[in-house]
Order: sequence, then C-alpha cells, then structure tokens
Amino acid sequence: MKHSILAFEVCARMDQTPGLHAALMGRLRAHPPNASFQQKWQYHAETSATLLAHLGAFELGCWDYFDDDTRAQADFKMWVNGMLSEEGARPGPLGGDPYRGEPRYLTYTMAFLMAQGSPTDMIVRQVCNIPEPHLWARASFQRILSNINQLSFSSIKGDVAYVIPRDPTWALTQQDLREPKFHYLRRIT
Amino acid sequence: MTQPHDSSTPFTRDALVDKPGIHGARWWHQALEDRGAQVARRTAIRGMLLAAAAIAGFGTLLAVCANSLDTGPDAKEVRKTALQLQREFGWNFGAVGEALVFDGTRALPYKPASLVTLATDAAPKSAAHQPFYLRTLFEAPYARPTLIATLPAEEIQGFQPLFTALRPMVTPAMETAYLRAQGLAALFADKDAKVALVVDLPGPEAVAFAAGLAHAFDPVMLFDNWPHPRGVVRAHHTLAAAAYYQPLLASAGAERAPSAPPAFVLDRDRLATYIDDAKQFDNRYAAKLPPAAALKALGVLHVLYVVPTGAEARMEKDDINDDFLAYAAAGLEVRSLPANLFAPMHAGDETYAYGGSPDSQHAFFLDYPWAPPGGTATLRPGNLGKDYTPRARRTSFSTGTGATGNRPRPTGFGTVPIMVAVGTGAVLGARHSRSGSWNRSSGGWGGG
Repeated sequence: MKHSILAFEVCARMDQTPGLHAALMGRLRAHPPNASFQQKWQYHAETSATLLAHLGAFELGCWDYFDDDTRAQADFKMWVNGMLSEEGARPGPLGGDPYRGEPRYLTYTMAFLMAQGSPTDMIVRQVCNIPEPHLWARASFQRILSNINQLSFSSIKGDVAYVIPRDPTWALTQQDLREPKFHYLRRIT
Repeated sequence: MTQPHDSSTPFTRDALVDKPGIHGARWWHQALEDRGAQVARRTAIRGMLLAAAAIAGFGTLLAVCANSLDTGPDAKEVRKTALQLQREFGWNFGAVGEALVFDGTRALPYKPASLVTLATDAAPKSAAHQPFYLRTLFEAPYARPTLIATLPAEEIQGFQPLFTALRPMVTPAMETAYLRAQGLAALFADKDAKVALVVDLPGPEAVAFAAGLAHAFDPVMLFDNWPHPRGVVRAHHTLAAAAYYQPLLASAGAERAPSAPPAFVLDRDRLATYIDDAKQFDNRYAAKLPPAAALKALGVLHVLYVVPTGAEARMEKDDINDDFLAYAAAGLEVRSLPANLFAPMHAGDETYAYGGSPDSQHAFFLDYPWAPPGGTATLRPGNLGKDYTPRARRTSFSTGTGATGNRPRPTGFGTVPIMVAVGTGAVLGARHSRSGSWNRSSGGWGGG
C-alpha cells in the first residue's frame, strides 16, 4: 500500500486563546488508547472545531500534503519523532502565569498517514490544492481544519497529535519560537 | 506502551509522551496493512461508488465515500490526454484559482467579447486551406467544460472561462517578427512561386509573423493545445498574441487574394521540455502538417521552413522530420529560412529587407530560385538555410523513414496523471505530488 500524508500545526498566544489549551489537553487526555473509527473521527472533528473557534488567534503555522509514498512515510516518522524527542518542548519551565506578562505560546500538531488513492486521500488532496500565494493565508488553514471532519479513519493508517506544552508554566516564549527548530512555522496572513 | 489490539477498536496507541513540556500520542491502524482483509470491503465500496456515481455528482460521491467504510486504493492513477481533460473539466483543470502569468509583456485594453470571433478571424480564407486549419487554441477562451458538473462544487464555482483571464499582449520580439514577415511577404508580392511556408517560431512570434504575412499569404494556424496555469507550453502567450493581432488578421483576410499561398503556422515550443507531473501540465502536442499529396494538390512545389535564426536552420523539429522527408520524396523542394536574415533596410527603418540591405534584398530569389528576382543584388547574406534539405532522423517523434502512418511519441506525451475511481472510472481529480505551506525538506525537524 502506498501512502500520503497530511500534517498540520498551528501556534497561538495563550492569553489570546483562553480555554484553548485546556480544551486541547482535555480532549487529548480523553482519547482512548484503543479507538474505533468513530472515536478517532470524533476526536479530530471536535478538536478541529475547537481550533476553528480560535482561528483568528493563530499567529504561526504550517501544513503539508504529500502523496509521494516514500516522502509520506518519512515525514510521518519525522512528525512522530518530533514528539518522541520532545524537540519542540522547552527544556524546563519558565514559571509565572502564561496568561499574563510576557507572551507565551502553545502549539497543536496533527498528522495523518493515509492510504494513497483512497477517497479520504482524494478529499484531502482536493482540499490541499491551494494556490501558492495562499499557502499561509488564514483562509487556507480554515479550509483544512473545516475539512478534517471529512476524514474516514478506515483509510488512515496512523495519526499523531500533540500539544506543547502540557503544563502551562512550560509554555513557549517568543524567544523559543525564534530558534531554528521552529523556523518551519510561518506567519499566518 | 503498546496496547492490546481489538478488532472493534482498530486504532491502537503505540506511542505516548506525557511530559510537562509536551503531551501527545501516536495511534496505529495495523489492519490497514493487511490488504487481503480489505478485498471484501473494497468490493462493497465499489458498489457504493457505482451507486453514488449513478445518482449524484462528484461532491456527493466523495461525501458518501468519506462517511462510509473507506479502505484501500479505490482510486487509481491513469493518464489522460491533456486537451481532452481540459475540454471536459475546464482549461485550468487541477489548478483552479492559479493565474496565468503574462510577464514581460504589455497589456492592452480590449473587449473580451471580441474573442468570440477569434477562431473565425484567424481562419484561412481559402477553402482549399481550411481543412488543415486547427482552431483548437482559439476555441479555448469561451469553451464550456462538458463534464464540469461532475466536479466538486468549489471547482464548479471557481471555474472562470478563459477569456476572463486573457488579455492581448505584444512584445518587442513580436513586433520584430511582424516586420520581418512583412519583408518576406513583400518579396513574394505578384509572384507565383508555388510555395508554402511552414513558420516554426515561438508561439507569440509565430502569430506576429503570420500577421505580417497576412496580406500576401493565407495563414493556416496549427496551434493544437489549450493554455493552462502550469502548462509546459505557454499557449496563453500565443493566444494573447492572437488576440492582439485579431483585428489585423480579420481585415487582412478580407482583403487577401483568394489565390494567396498557404503559410502553416506552428508554435516552436510545442515540444518543450517536460519534467515534473506535479508542477507542470503537459499541454505539448506534435505538429499536424498536410501530407505531401495535399500540398501538391494545392499546386505547391516548394516548402520554405521559417525558423528563428541560422542556428536552427539546418535541422527541423523532430516531429516534422517525417513530414519533410515525405515532402522531399514526393518531389517537393524543402528549404529553410532564418527569420533573422530580415533586418531593417536602413538604421531605424521599419522596412525589413533580406540581408538587412537594399543591396541584398533581391538576393532572396537567388538563394531560393523559385521566381525571378525583382532587382539586382550586389550582396548575398550568409544563409545556412538555403542549402538545407531534410535528412532522415530517428527520434522520439520520428521514424526517420518519412512514414505517414503512426509516428512515435514519448511515453505519456501530452497526457496528465489523474485519479479515477476504480469502480466507475469517474475522474476524481488531478494528481498532485505535494502541496503545503512549507517544504520540510529545507530543514526544521531533525527526525525521520
């Protein structure tokens, strides 16, 4: 079976998105270890709806769709390793209240390894067929989020989802986001 | 941390990170790798696809699939002729919303409605020449896709006829080509040279050249493709050039003598290099010249192949090698002519002469002795085309024998990869290799 991948990540200031971090963490923690298609769909549909409610607050983000099999598998592994290696996480807490003072940030990441050529892949391909000038447009992120509920998990081989940070005191700073490891995040216009 | 697998819960969490700085997990759907287990389900889906296709459009089809059991490759990749796809699904199939780029040109005000008559205005006026005319390109501006209703709603709503994206253009190269052609046409005025021209210049210049000839020759346009935002052949430039010269082509056609000889007009970029399915749309095509017998029936004895410069004068494009060999075998004399041999007769002059001088102007019919020279020539330009004759060459586009039957073409030539439903054959969309806001190969995460 050949694969394709959809990856999506957004970054928002926590004080501009009250309730978002708690909602994302709550949904992720509630996700059962063993999940049915319906449970997978419900998790991602509800999470995407939550993100859409805060669409205007996202400052940075990126998304990718590939239907090259080798690339899709390698990229999925890369996104997973990004989580396992905790690469994006701070090495320690900064302390303080992330909702006051210096801006503090959260990121939410999701990636789907799909069966290439499946109807779900076709939907995603269509959704992601976005002209280059609009790649970083807020409307493009909205378009993708709005269509996550079109995914059928019977043709998704694996998915990964993570929130940075888990604990609010470990929230990212502007300085953190300026590090090279976050350069893939682009300003959403 | 792998969890036991249960068929009712096909996704198993096989990685979990629960640290203060990050919380996340990966879930894995191992059963999806068991392709044998998918067969029965895939058959069921095929049935659903068939039923859905019978009762609804593409959007509904996808919605049905998305909300149903959805396993395995129920779509497959096939290649389809680019032009056919465009006729069925729109000139910008797979690239709705992407703009045509008219860089480096002058845009002029015009009435888009005038393009309705472009195919007629650009048509040859001689009834004997009309069977060879290809109006393909000129039909594109107002074409309505025949199957667009089967595409998703956003594709239908996003589609705009080509005329809305088109504007006339003229470039310095076109203006020069026009003047060169006028210089050539002037030489043939009042002469029965029994010649047919084959103009093989880059699209916009070919159109301009045809316009410059149009009072003395009957242009027979052979542009057999449509523009596309990712087109390998920038046919929109050719079309925009035709829009610019449309009034002139129409008026010249009305004034032209019915006996004017034919000038077959080709886009020299029709075989442009094609590299990437994802970034390019293969709207290339091979030339369709009249057979030798047809030219002879028109009274043609000489074929003059017009190329940009002397560098191109010794060899024709690969796709017309067999045609030219056939012409030669039938007794037609084939020679080439570098268009740049026509230059201003005097500095700053808009009158172009063969060899760029009044002293070489009349050398033309010494180099091509098909009619008496109109005067004396004291200069002879260096012309690599006057001694040209076609030589047999076996290429990706030619047999090297002059055969008139099926000719070779590179695999996939002029076709586009698309995805179709396995069960129904319905076109699901263009195949793209990637899209995204950032190419992760450039850096970022170090994993993988």
